[in-house]
Amino acid sequence: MEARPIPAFYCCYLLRSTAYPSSIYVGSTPNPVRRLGQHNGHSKGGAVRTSRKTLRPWEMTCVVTGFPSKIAALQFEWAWHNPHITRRIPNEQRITKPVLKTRKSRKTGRTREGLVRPRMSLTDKINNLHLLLRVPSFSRWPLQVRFFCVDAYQAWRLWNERVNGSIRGGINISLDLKQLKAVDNDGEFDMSTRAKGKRKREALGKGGIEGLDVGYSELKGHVQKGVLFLAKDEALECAVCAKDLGSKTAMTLLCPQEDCRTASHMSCLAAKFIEDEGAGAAVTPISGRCPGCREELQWIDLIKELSLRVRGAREVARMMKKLRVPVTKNAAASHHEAPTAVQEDATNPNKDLDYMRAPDDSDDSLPEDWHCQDDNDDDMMSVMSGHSAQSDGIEAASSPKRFPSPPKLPAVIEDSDWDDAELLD
Amino acid sequence: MDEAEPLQSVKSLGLSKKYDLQMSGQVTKEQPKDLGGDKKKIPAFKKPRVLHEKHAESIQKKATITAAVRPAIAVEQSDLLAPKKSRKKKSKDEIEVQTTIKKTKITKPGAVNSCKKAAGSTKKANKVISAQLRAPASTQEEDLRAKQGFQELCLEKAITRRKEWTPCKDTAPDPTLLEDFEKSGDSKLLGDTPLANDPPTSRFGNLLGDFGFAQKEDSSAIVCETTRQENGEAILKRRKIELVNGIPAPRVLEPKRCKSPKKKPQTVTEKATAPFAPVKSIIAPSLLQYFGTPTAESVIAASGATDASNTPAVIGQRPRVKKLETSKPKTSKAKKSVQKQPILLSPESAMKNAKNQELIFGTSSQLVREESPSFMKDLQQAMKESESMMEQKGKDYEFLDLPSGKSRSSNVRAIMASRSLWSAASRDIDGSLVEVEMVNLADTPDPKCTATKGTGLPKMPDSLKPQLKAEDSLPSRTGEIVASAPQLNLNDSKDLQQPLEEPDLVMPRSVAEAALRNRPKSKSPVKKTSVAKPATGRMPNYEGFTDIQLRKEISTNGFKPIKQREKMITLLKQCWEGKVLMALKEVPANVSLQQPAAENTNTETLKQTSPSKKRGRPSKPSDLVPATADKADDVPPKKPRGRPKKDPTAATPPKRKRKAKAALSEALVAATDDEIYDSSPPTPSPPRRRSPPKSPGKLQLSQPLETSTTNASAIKDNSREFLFSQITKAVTTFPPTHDVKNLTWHEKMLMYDPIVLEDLTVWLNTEGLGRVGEDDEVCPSLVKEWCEERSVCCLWRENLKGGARGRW
Repeated sequence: MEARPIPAFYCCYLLRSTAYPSSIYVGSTPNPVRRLGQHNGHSKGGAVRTSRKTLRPWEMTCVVTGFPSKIAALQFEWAWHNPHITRRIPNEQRITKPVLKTRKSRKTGRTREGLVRPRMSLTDKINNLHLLLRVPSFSRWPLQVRFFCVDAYQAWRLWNERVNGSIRGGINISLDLKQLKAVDNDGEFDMSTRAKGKRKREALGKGGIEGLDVGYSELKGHVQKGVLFLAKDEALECAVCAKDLGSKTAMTLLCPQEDCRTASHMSCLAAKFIEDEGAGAAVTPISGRCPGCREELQWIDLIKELSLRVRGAREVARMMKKLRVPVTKNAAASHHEAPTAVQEDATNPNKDLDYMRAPDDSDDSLPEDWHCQDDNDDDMMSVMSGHSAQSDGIEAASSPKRFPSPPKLPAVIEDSDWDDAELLD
Repeated sequence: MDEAEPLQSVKSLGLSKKYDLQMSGQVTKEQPKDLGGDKKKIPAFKKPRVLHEKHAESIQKKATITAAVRPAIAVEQSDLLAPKKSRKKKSKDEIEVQTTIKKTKITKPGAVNSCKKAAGSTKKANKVISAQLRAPASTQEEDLRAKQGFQELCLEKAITRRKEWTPCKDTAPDPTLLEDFEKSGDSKLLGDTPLANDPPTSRFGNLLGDFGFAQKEDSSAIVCETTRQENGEAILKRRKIELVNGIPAPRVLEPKRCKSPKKKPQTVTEKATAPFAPVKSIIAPSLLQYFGTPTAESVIAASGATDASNTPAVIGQRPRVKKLETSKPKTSKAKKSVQKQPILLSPESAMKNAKNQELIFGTSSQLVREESPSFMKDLQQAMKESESMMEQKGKDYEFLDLPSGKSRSSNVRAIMASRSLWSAASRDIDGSLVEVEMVNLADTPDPKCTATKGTGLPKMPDSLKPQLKAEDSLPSRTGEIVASAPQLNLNDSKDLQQPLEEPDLVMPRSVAEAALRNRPKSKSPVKKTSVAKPATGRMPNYEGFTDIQLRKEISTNGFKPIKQREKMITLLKQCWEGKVLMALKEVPANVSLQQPAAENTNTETLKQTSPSKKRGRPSKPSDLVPATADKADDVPPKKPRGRPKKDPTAATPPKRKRKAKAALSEALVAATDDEIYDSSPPTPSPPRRRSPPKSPGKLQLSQPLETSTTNASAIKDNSREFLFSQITKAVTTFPPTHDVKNLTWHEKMLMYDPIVLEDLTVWLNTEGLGRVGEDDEVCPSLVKEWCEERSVCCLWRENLKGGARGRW
């Protein structure tokens, strides 16, 4: 199967019923806002356990973000959901013990004893989260924790002080309260997609779950730089081993810093990072300093860019497409001008787009993307990448011709919706 | 009406034409001989209703023929077919009916009387007759009735009865009944003799009997016949009237009838307790008669049943019933009267009695096991006799303050000392023996008189013997029915209440004598041991034997040769144990237990105690089991499996012996727990030391296993850590490909790719580990541990449902 890039965003979250705060729910999603809407019944697809009307609305007390894969997120979710039996928690450290419960079956009338999940409170969940972030299975994952509720955060801090053992330094714990000026969007889900997208963009970075960036937008600069950088036919050397990166530049890591031109082999840099870190047995580094600019780099950032570059042609294209949006807006909706503008200034991201096209798939990445956007904005991704690749290949030939004239180009540009589609996988 | 009937019936039945034809044909057939030939046609009718109609039809015809029969027919018709209609008719015929009743009533007693006279003294038969006829059960009663003008009463009642009578609801017209009646009526008409009518009437009687009366009798049939002939009245009706509202007078008699002398079913409990409870009552009279003058009551009882039977006529029913019975009740009564006297005992004697009362615990079936009721007692006495000697000694050895001073042998004392705890436990606060005893009846017939033990051995043979002898002779003299076995009746004479220590007194015969015969032997410990000895002094060390020797041993034991050495050994051990048990069995159980106490030689004690360990084992012969832990110094019953090595008796013996004993017990355990020790040979500690190099290789195999388990964790940890480092090395040092499509494992991990454990394991085992010089192979679970320890996201290719993961 085709490997996929590291998802832009994947999180495990802890829901709490606002009506009955003792009711909690652990889930995982690449798009917390959408998922919360599902839980609260604003859209289809909520979990059954959260479907009871009396428990609604649910609030997201905290999220654990940064999962490098969906599988990782699911594993963490399961462990968080079942801290009483997960083997990732050593038995001696286990906080939550399974409860022996006798159940009587209605059919046979027999009583069966079994170990069941104990009823857990929010504090229990937070304590277990603390534990899970410390266990070897997850401790080196590039995770972050965000709290959206003060009491949950207080519980965390209380436990953090009390518990014997500290969270790895790289794990960022933050209280991310929704800012007051952020739009309260409750009950306004019938807005047009454009308005929604606009509001999302506005809410971005303003706290709360709406402030979470669930797209690749963070990586935009990095990716652009990479595309640009690697497109040059310069002979690059690995900053670590000083060997020529050679023609296979695919597995090269680039420093995300704008002006740093450091490139290195992934394995070389990893080895260096691990060595710097001093964790002898570690396989994956967590962070390290760029050998060139000495900037503190997170390994996950490097890898995200790499995986996007290597595996996520479509995502990159989408990202670039998004970049195009302001361009088209600026161009006063004249689609004839847009391409020219793209080609004209080199510093423009559009310029980078052209570069980016080269290394990935010879020439069909961009047109494919345009096509996608026009016809099936959301579903395309979710269907089948293989199939889409094929169809894209077919259309690759014709799309360049259509490229100059995308009819509703400015209208449907969404990145978060795209992420929704991805979730359906 | 004749033609119409069949048609009607056909219609009503709604059956096939064939059936119709058949019926009609039959009807036509019957018509010519309608009077006598009803019998034939009845079977053809399958529905009672049809039968009815048919019947009525024929009856009608009869009515036309003879006027004399008419009332009867009419009555019958009305009864069977249309009750309501018939009732009116009845009222019309009332007078006639009344007269008939009167007549019958008069005749009945007479008939009964005649029957009585004719049949002679067969009272039973009389009873039955009365039952059917609703006459009093006993002939005497009937006589009385007859004399008192009882018939008149009947008459008066009869009128009311007549009026109030309603037919039974479920008087289903029975074809046979009708037939019989028909027949009888016909026969009457035809002038048949009463004898010819017997069978039908008896049938009829059967029907009546269904209403709760006794069986019919031929004579009754005769009576019925006569009455019927006289008045031509329907019997059925008359009977029914009496059934529904019985006359008060007969009712009084009824309970008598019901009181048939029913014999109680013999139960196991009864059988078991019989030898104990009734024994006194049976013996008592004999003794009393012997010692004292016969009482008036007994005289009365003996005087015969005739006098008694006469008197109670006024008294009531009970005595009468008894009189009617055979001679058996008489005797019982006599016994009863005699029994009452000996109950008056002086308090002391009563106490003594109670003390001497033997308590035998067990289920009835267990108690009833022995044929002779005295057997158990005798045997018990014998045991006690034999034990008392030993005990006395043993007690004295242990407790210096015991009154009865006997010579002590220091040897014995040394052994006994170890048991002081146990013996102390069996004492009560006053220092006397606790008298509570457990008798395991299931295993040994060994009940026990505890009282005698405490008192020691005070015997008064001289005074007792003559009396006992006299008692023995008693039964024959009096000629009374006494229990077969002459027994001591402790209730009667105070002298007899003395503890029965003398064996001669207690066991006249019975099997217990055999046990007694052993007694003198058992008195001397040495001899006793000699009895037990023949088996073996000590179990041979079969493990030390060569295979040939083992085979030889097995063959001598009569077993087929076995190939496996361990099995041979276990078998031989079992054989040896069996031998020991057999030897022990020969000695009375208690003796065998006591013996070790008095024994000097250690091997003996070993031998003796070892079987006691096996007590819990169900498969072993039960006789061996020492039932009573009666003595203070008795070896307490031990559970074989629980803690075989902790033997309280083994406290003092020298070390070597203890070892041997431990070995033995181990062997025993091994032998008993076959399912556990099946494959591996039992390894008692001392033999193992001596065991030749030949001894099983399995042991050697098991050795490393044990060490591995003991050190498992440490070794495991070490090897695990080492393997982990090797894996890390293999993964990280593998040259990177820098190829997007073909990443190395390390590159995948660096890119946070979920690692498929199976694939990684395969790679490690085939390529990775070999590259770093590691020969060991790793299992996926170990790889998983490695991954998880390093925060590498890993997963199984196959999920829980068995499906392969498509993508991630």
